[in-house]
Amino acid sequence: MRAILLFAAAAFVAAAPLDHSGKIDWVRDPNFGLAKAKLEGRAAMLFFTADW
Amino acid sequence: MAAATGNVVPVYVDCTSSESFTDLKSKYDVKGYPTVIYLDPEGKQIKEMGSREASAVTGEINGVAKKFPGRPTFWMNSAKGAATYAKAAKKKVAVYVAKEDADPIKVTQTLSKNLADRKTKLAWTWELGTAKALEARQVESAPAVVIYEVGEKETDLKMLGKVQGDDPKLLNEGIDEILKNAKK
Repeated sequence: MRAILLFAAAAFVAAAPLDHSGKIDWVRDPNFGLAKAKLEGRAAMLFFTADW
Repeated sequence: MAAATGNVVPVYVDCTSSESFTDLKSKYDVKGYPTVIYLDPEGKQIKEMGSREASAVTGEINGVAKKFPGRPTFWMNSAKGAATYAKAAKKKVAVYVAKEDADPIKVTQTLSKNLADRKTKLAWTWELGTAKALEARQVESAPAVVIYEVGEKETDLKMLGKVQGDDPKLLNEGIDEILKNAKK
């Protein structure tokens, strides 16, 4: 499974965009965010918040 | 701090509705807001954010990122991120509107196998196909791919076309047709 994930990640490598706006480019779908972290072999930072 | 978050996958979990993300909140024992938790690539908790001071937070993020440098995939984090990249790289933006129960890893593997060079020709991002998202993207159902041209501003996205369904052949033909028409 790990080999498949690494293959998928390697097959899709692209230049990451640099955000110079000073704003965080959030992933809004946690399911996708966690999958993205797994595919890319990177850590995820989960920001739990509520706008009350 | 924003620059540091480029080295991890920053995920915004909006818990304004108490019914939202109950599984995630329970899994990571979230008791109040805001709470920031770092996870390794397999989803295992590394630690909770300790400081709220900007330079310390940046140091924390960099420390976590250093342990898991990874490599970016073709997915940009958001439509805005994709537009920023697309504008700089002179590409079009492709928004993949996913089924609500879609498995992102399976979708990525399928697209990886079938899209060929379309994955690098376009700046791809993912959105969950909620009713609101379908309406905003002007598609009737998910999955769908909507392709945009970026205007003067990164927020100025002009729709070039859309392809609905998950048949790889139709998807590729639809994308090629949209890109061909955009050149005219």
